[in-house]
Amino acid sequence: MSGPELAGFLLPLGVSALRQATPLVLAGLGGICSERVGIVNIALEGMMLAGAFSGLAAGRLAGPLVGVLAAVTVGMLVGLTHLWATRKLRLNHIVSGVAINLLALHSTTFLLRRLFSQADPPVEARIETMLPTALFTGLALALAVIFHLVLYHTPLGLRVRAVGESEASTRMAGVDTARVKMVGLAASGVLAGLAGAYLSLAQVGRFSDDMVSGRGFIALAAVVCGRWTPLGMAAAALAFGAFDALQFQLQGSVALPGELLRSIPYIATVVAAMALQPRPPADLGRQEE
Amino acid sequence: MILRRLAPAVQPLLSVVGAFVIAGVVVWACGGSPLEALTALVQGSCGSSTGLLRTLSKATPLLLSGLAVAVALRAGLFNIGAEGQLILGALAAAWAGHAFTGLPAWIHIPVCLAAGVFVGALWAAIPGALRAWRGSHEVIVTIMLNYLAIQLAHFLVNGAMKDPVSMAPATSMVEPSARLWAAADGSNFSAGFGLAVLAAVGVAVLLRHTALGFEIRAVGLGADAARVAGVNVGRTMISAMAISGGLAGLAGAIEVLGVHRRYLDAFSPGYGFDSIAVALLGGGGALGVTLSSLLFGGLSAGATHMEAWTHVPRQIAGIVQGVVIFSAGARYLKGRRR
Repeated sequence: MSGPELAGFLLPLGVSALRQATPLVLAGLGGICSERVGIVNIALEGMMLAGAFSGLAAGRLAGPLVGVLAAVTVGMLVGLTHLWATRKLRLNHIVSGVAINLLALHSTTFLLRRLFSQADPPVEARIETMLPTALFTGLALALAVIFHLVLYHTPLGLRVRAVGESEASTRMAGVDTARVKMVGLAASGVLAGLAGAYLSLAQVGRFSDDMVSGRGFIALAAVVCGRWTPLGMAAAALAFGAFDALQFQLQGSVALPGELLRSIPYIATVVAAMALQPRPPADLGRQEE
Repeated sequence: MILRRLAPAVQPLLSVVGAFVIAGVVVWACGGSPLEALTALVQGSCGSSTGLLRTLSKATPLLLSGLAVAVALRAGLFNIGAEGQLILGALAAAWAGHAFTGLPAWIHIPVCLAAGVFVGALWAAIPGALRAWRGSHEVIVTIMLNYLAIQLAHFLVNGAMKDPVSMAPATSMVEPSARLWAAADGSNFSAGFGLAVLAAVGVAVLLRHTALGFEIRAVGLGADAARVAGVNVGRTMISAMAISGGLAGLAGAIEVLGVHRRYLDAFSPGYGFDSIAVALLGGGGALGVTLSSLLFGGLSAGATHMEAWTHVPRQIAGIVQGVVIFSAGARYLKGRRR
């Protein structure tokens, strides 16, 4: 391959990788916000789906920027529901996450049919004006750096990390841990909702059934592989995005089966979970007595 | 006395009623008639003999995968991976169903079922072993193995295991000797339902009357205490996950041998995920899981009928399921550390 040819292959690949990685970085930051304050979050998928749907629904009525606002608001509400279920209803974190994912999937498909179209299948809703993807990509990467600085170089970050390691001792030290958790879960929902809005308002400009299709779980995988750190997570998400982009580019050529490239995030995560090195926050998943 | 025996059923019943009320409000808010929708739902699930059989056929995979989740829960493990185990179990049964020819049915069917159980058990033993040996969290691992199973099955039925004479991403049809008896009225009811009920009895016996069942429950109540009492906690966790995966694999095998007659890519509408609702509502016991699988089976069978007659989208059944998990799940697994 000559120089220009190689550039012609790599440049679109890099752009496509960034586009694929953007929702993973945003949702992954949401996962970090939640898990760092001790709440296990397998509900990223449902939060993204709720954000994607509400973003598109509001975007059709009042323009894409209002759509983004609606997506982050709904995402935040879902995040706070997760907190309420685990803290007040004392639900196991996994159970609450499963319920949120199920409710988000079925209520968005239900509402899509009820509000936009009766046809079945194919069912989808579209929007005319889309937002530039680069806006979200830049925001996602900037947020990853900002989160790193906040988490490791500010008093707030210290509190967040302390709550995740041991809520009881942090409370003893005089920190309002309930509020830290509330901020964490609200931020988690906002970021996952934003990731959903990216998918429906910037990347494809429509909403269709189950359109998040597992990206929430890949974002969770990036959190685990990145050892619960913003920069590590972002690196993992970029790598997963690159594999995804590579799979699109190689489609049709017989060099590698697409399924293998698509499986890399899952295999990497199982290996990371096996290596035990990515130690989760010590208080993760603990229920207050 | 009778009241005391009925007491454990009160909360699950309340959560089901509550979920139906919420779903009714949703239907009403979207301009439908909740009463009409409910009537059509009941009509579709138990208003005719075909409807009843359809309810039982929908309940079959839910019962088996619900038992799978329940057995793992009793050991304190969360098997979110029933979907992946079910998919690979189905694929193994489909392979055994067309690869062996000339066998009599009484040998061929058990061989296919055993293949499904074995592969499902093996796939579930991976997170069990990683949890026991490395302390890896089984929820993360089972979620990833679900997606891995989906990709693997997709790869195989589009390549090495693809039916050479068909365009569809599917394996060849299984031999007639590997097919379970099925009703001819379009309800998809098959002898698989009987097998699922047998499995439920087996799980009840396992948990109550065997040493392994006792160890599983002991580990679920407290791994440290069980270890002090002399239980091999790691081995028990792996066994519980393997049994769990075997049940999910059996669910997949029965779907292939009784309903589809071959492995069709993406055939499962998420039985493995619905099974979590089934197990939580059923309270982790075999009888409770059986009853809740019948409820969700009826819901699923009736929802299609309801959609056709009242134009209320059938996804309302999924909303009921989600609400049930919220309200019924509140009883389980409080405060488990990951």
